[in-house]
Amino acid sequence: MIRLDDGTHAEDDGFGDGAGDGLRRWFSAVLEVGDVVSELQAVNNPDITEAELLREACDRIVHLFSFECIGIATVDERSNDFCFSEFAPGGRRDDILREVNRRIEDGHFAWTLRQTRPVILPAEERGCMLLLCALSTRNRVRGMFAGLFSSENMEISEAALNLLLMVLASTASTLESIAFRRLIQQQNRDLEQRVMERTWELEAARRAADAANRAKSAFLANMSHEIRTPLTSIIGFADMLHKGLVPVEDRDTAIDSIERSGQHLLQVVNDILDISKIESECLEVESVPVALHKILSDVEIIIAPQAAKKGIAFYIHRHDPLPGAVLTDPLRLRQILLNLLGNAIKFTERGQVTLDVRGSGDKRTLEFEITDTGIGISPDRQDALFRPFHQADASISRRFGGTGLGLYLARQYAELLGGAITLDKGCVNGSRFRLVLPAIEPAEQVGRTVVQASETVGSADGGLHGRVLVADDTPENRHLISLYMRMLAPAVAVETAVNGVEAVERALRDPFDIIFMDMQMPEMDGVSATQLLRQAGYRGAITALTANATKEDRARCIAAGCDEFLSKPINVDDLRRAVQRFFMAKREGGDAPAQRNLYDMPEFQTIKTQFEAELEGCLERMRKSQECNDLQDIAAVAHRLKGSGGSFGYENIGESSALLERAAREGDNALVRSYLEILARDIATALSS
Amino acid sequence: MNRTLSLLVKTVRDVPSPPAIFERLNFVINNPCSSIRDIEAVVREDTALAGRLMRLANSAYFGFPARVDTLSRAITLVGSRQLRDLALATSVINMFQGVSPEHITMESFWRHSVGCGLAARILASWRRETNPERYFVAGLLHDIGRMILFLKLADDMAGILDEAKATGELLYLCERKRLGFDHATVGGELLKSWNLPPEICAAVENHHQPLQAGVHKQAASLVHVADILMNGIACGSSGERYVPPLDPDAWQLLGLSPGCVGPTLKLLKQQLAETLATLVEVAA
Repeated sequence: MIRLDDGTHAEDDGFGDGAGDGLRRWFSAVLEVGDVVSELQAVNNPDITEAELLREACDRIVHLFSFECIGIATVDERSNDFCFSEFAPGGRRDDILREVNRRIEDGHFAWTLRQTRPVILPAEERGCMLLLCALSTRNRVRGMFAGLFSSENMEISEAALNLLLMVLASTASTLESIAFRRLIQQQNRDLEQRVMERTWELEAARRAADAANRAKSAFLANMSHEIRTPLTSIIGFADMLHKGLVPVEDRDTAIDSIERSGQHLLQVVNDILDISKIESECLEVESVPVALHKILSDVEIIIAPQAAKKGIAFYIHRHDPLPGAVLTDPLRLRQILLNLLGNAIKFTERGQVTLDVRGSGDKRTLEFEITDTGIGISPDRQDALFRPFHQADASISRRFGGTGLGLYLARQYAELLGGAITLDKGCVNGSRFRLVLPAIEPAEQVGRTVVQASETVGSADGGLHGRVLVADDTPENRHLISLYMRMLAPAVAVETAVNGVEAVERALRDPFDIIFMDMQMPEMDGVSATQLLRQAGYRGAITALTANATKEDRARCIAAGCDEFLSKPINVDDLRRAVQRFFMAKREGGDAPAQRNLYDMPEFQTIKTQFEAELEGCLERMRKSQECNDLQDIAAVAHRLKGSGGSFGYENIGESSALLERAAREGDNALVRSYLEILARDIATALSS
Repeated sequence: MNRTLSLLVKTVRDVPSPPAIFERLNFVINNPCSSIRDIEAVVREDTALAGRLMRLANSAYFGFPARVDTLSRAITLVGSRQLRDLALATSVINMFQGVSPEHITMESFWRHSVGCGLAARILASWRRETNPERYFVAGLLHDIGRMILFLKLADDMAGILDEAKATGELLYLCERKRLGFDHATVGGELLKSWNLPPEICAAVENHHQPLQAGVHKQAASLVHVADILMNGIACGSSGERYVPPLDPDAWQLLGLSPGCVGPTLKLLKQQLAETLATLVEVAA
């Protein structure tokens, strides 16, 4: 035991002189202090905790030095408060705290913190001294040591204080080591955590890449299938027709098959093209005034027959008030709705498909909700649904067909239009998709310019006379365009050229009313030929034909000097418009008697009014016929409306009548019923506008 | 023996030894068997020393929260080794009370010295050095060699001062050129001859080239920085007209942040006047 209040440990012998009991005791005490210091060092206790260290230090100090009681406080890392946590002996805890609190209040505690040595102060307790010593390292104060010892006088041993200081300094440095170790461990843990997260992310990314890869392979296989299937029927039927193997009564069906397969093939190719445009961020959307009822009726005309064919009901619910027109891209909007509705029909065997259209309360958005009572989409497949090259189930594509691109495209279109498509995950019977689009109303009122009347496909204009040149290296294309021309304008002479050189030679020798110029030809391509002709001062109309249907191609053609641009496969409507445009221009600017626009003639207005007056009556008659199952009569009436509807600018009426006529001739009662309703609505729309 | 060395030896040898009280204090403190009471008994023998220590214990220098009214309380608060260093400082100052060298004013010299001591002590306290009084002593005595030079080699120093003024050279470099040694060497030799702790001797001797102080380069660096601070704020002067350059490696070695300079000077301002009045009898 080292006495703090006794400076006379070795006095019996005189210091350094002989080896009396006092001196021996002193030396052994000093050695013990050395021992304790080394034991308290962190290197010898790598795993010691702060609490264990303080416990150990307290035990040793109380054992070594003549304290009545001691306490050790550490600094709380968060509040920076000193908390006494360790006492020896535990029973005198309150005595220490009382003395320390007194010294905290009078400022001695704070003063001691700035000192690097023990400070001794008189205690309240009689005959006692309070020793305070900061537990500090070079870096910071880590705690405070407080001890009470009895001393009647000031016989305090400086040497004992130095020994105590050694033990306390060693304790402080170990406290610091523990804190540092904790910091390092924490950082190690953080680091490991981060490595783990990164590894997981990498693994997830790798799996996603693998999955995308597999999906692309599957997609390619699908595409191959999708392309080969229609090709099989196109080539097969064409071959059989060619060889005369198709009986006369089946020829229409065979040609229908070829046409439908071709259309489907075109759809597949267009989808793929759109996807590549979307992925290279090249797809642009228009923003033009679009009449909502027109879009809805377009969709209805296409979807209603499909629904009727499967024996399921199809309804469009318009929840007023709805905007008359919105600024959007009619083509894309139609595509989205057709896709969502087409899917709904495809996956529904019984029940109904409904399209609910409503505006939001603040009139800022327009919502299309497509609900079906079909097989629905299981929760685990809902997420993959909108990804490209995915169908909810690979087996689905075999059962139901489709490219697996539709929903992906639909969502991309919706986003390009500033909206979104979501799947209602709470829907239990069947599925429900929601398309939300911004409802921006166009500034000016949309008139009939939006819903432009067009003449029925195939109507011939016998009044056109002149010459056209078809320059294309493919004989089939030359033949096809010649046929189209014969249909559209029987009086126009069609000549052909097989490459650009020939086209230029012939055009310069004797100018044509229109040159249909294929862009890719041997010898000289269409672009060069057009440029050459324009340089030579050729002023006739040149219409570009190309299978590269991008905006850039179009711009390139126009820059070369083309007046018009038609993409392959050729759409008859577009071709007719082109022909009419240039022959009209010729008529107006040329010698032929100026012919005014049909629609502006007063005679036309008179017959049109008569036609409108008859509409209600026709409808009434067809309804009655339907009640007594007289489909023949319905077909006859519908046939008449089909012919004149388009002519008077009521494209909708013409189209729905055509569908109705066909259904009636086929004897399909269900279809007749639904088409009759569509026609009724179209008529109502026509009369109200 | 060349002229330089013999001149140095002669200069130092003629300085009287510190008073006997310092020797006795040193002995009792170095004896591990001594108690505070033993040390108190020695201090009591020198009433002037006892009075100064009491004044110091109650000054801003210690900033003790309560009044210290007995010498033994003062000793327990200050610490015995600290007390020994302070006793040394006061007795050295005492030795030079009443002398008046030709070329400097004593007031300015002690202001610079006490300022440097306080600055070194405060800087040491930021580093939580165990005995900050040691750096106070080293700082206080860092230019004691120049006092000796002014007293013993007054003529040489007059020429050196003129040269420094004319050329704009630092004074200690002129000393080296003219004498072959500078005031720091003189100070270091003197303190060694008085058996002062080697750390103090080395710090004084190397305060212009602190990194050459071997194991004591931290102490030398503390004094180096403190000296430059005092020259920088023109706190008194020991003859130097310019601020000596700071050795960046010395500053690096101390590991102090530049932000501690402001608080150091603030604390210094609080303590300087009182400490100066306690240790140096300017009126005399």
